[in-house]
Amino acid sequence: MTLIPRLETERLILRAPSEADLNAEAEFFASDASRFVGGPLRRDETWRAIAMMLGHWMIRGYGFWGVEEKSTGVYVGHVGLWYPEAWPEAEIGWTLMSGFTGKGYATEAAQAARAHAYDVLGWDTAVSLIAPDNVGSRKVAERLGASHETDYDHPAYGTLQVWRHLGPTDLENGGMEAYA
Amino acid sequence: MPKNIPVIETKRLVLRGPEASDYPNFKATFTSYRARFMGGPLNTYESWMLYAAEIGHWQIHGFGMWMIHDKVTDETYGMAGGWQPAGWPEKELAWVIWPDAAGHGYALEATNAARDYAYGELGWDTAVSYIDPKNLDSIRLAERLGAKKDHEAATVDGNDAVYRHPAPADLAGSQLAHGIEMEVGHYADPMFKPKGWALD
Amino acid sequence: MTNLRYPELHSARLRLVSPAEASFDAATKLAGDDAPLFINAAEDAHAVWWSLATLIGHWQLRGYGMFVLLDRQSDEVLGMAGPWFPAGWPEPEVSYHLTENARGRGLASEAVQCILDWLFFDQKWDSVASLIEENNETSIKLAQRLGARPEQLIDHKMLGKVRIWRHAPQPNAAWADDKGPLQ
Repeated sequence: MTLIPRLETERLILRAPSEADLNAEAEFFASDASRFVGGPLRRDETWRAIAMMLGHWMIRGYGFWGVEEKSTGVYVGHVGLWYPEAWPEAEIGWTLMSGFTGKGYATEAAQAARAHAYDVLGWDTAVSLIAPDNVGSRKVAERLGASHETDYDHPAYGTLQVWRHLGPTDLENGGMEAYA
Repeated sequence: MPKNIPVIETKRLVLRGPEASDYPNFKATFTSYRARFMGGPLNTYESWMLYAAEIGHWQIHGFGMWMIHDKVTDETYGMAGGWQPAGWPEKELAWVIWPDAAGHGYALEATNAARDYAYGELGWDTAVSYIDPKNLDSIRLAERLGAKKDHEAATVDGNDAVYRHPAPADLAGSQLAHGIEMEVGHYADPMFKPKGWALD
Repeated sequence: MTNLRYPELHSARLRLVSPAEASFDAATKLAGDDAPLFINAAEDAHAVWWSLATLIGHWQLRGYGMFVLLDRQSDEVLGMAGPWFPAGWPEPEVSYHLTENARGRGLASEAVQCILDWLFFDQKWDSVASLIEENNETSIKLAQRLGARPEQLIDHKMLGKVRIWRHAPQPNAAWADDKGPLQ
């Protein structure tokens, strides 16, 4: 059993994904807001998505964290490191539930995930795959200092933009702050 | 040892103990060039540890640095209060204003209130401010508060100038005290546009 | 800042208190003239004061932090242990430091076990790490005794080369019976 590290930022806690997140995730995946991340999904399909998040940790040793608001304990989405089959390379991904966008949570959690990838897992680079019309996500990538490098044709999801993140050395040299 | 950090209200501001939620603003200033007169810029770890120490300071001494909030919006503008970590020769009145909140007289208003509290409630009979001689904005603020350079007093590390604040008896009811009140009043007036004032 | 109450934990021989608890006189106990030293402070005369201030602030900012380990009978300070997570740390880390005369009596494992139980069963954490240097056999043995499993060796900018040892909840009769170390 892979134990999933618990991370913490100023306002958020990143912990293992859990079946307890199903209600929130199912509501999100039933909505139109999920169209950029493979939705909409039925509730049973959403359950499988959570199971897949946990399975990804087993197979890769990293994956998506469930993210909670520290002050309220409310589930706000999943953010983490993702590299399933048919991905061009390992990515930093973020999906916030409706009502929790616009607070800088995705950036804050993604910074923690990025620090984990570089400092703990030893990655020397990372990308994010973003649907071309997903403006909110592109903004997050920009705030993280990433730049649009190329496009990738995913067999199921069509054309996705590949955004390249600043590398560990860029961050050390003060280009951006390495930690949330 | 204080159970609670006191809350002070001024014309435009509320001074409260530093909270976790105020940290991002502190970090933004202390990891920037702005912190060059305050031992910075600091890296993320150093900045967080300093913020933690600001909080611990309250418990150890019973006084410390307040977080300056806007009374209406609750936005933070900086910090002001008493400061005496290890190695400080005397109790200091200190202040720091976030770069984008400078120019509104917040440091003057908050530090003046902090000094009143130190003299009135804590019973201090004197106070100093340790200022980098190159930090002209802060020297100007010290002077507006009526502090004068004290050439005799011990410095923190020899690289700072000591400004001694007027003693409680000399300050109470003085022309200086009224002048500060009036200046703060001008800033609080929405029609007032400061010209040529110090940044803080 | 509100007047927070911090947890106090008990084990067979120890009382674990937060230095941020207002009723605990941390300045005298930990930074007073005859207080026990946890760090070699000879290099920097001010290090003890700053450590104390940050220990207290860490509790206020995170809601958890290093506990002071007190002898249950004599109230003597025997060390510190707890979860530690300043900004820039890879993840919250449980570590421990004992005073010279507290070593060799199994107090570190007693304290850390007590803290792990608190984190897993009371605070509902799902995992926590200890970051241990490869040549620190004492700490590695302790981690193994507590059921921790080794993960990656990391090269961290502040900590240097350390291995992540991951703790997991251990079945614990005291907590299961709802008679845990929480006072």
